[in-house]
Amino acid sequence: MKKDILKVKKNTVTSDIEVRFEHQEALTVLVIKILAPFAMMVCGLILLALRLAGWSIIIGLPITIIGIVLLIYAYDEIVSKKIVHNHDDLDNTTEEEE
Amino acid sequence: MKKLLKFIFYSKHSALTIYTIIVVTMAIRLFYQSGKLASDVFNEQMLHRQTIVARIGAHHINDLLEDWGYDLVIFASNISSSHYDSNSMQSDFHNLISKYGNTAVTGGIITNKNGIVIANANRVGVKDLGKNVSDRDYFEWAKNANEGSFFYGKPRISQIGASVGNEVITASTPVVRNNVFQGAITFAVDVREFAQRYLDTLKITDQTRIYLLDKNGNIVYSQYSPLEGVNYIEELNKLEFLNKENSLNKLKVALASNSEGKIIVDLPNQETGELDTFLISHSPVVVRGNTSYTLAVATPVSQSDYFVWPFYNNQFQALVVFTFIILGYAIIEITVVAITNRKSYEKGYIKGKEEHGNE
Repeated sequence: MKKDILKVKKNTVTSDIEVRFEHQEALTVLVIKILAPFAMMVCGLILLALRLAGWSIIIGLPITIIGIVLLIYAYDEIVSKKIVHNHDDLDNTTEEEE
Repeated sequence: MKKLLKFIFYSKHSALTIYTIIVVTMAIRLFYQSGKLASDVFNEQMLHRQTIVARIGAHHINDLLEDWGYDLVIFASNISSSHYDSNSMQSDFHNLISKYGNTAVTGGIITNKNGIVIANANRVGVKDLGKNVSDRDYFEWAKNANEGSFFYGKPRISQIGASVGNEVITASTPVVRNNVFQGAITFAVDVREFAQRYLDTLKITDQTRIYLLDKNGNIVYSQYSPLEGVNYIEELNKLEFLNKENSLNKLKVALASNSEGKIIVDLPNQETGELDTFLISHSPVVVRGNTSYTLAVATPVSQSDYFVWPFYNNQFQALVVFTFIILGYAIIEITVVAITNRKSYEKGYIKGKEEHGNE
């Protein structure tokens, strides 16, 4: 009995650590998904500001646009996960209403 | 990558994304065009200012030389008078030349009707008495000239006086008494010293260069001393650089022109050794009806850009603000669509649960 309780406790603690690790991993991926495009956009704008003959427009323009599109894409992903496809609140709300 | 392309072209946000791409591209194109327009306008303004400066400089040279020429005529008129004491001629001439002490007039001579120097004065006290200048162009001119006229000869290397070895232009007037030619009075103007004294102030920016060239492209005066005495066209011919033929043609046309003008040429920058685009305004220096020199005022385009940077900064700030406005608009749109979807889903879910939950 004691062994089973300990096993359950150990599993609970391990699963808590795993969940926390998963959260941190997700958060890191999220930050990278937002920071990288933002950095691309900023670098593109800076390249455009430098007005280097030819190179500014050839490299700066695509990088800026790709950065903006990726930012929109990343935000859409976050919003989809947190608002559209998050059904936990829905069930809780439904129960509360009941 | 597939997911991204699907998001751009096949998702509910396709219209927004494509619209964002088009608008940002147009904004960047507008940013570049307006920057180029500002740069072109400033270059034109710089050329315009340089043209005015070159014109003023050329007229200033002409006016000064005219004034000095008339001084000679007045002096010649005095000494040709029958009441004039010829014993005081040397001291009077010395006083006249001394008056030009702070100018580029280096000295002068008075000759008799045979071209022998009978009086001279110069800033260093060189004596040229007894020298024969009858073969000089100014003496040849003076022999046949009318009283009260004066002549500026072509630029030449001085062979007498304080300006020996330097490039000078000479002003001459005949001494006539009772309609008989008695001799000539001549003084010499050191061209380089003249340009340095009166043209250096024409600089518009620190990087502006002033050049005085003759019709063959020989640089008589340049603030960059190694170029003085050099035939600039021949020097450029020896070098290889981008747009060389085009630049040389423009320079030759400018040198040959008898009117002022402005050109934009790519030339090697002697100070940096790199190829630079120069804004050059030129004006002919006309002395007594002869166009002997071309006065050129040149500024590198990079200096013009220096004045344009505040406009570039403003345009860049506008581009950044516009980009963030577009991004903000996209974020608002995505959020509104997501919330609307969510609310619709909630309504449907609750209704469905109520209907099926009651069964």
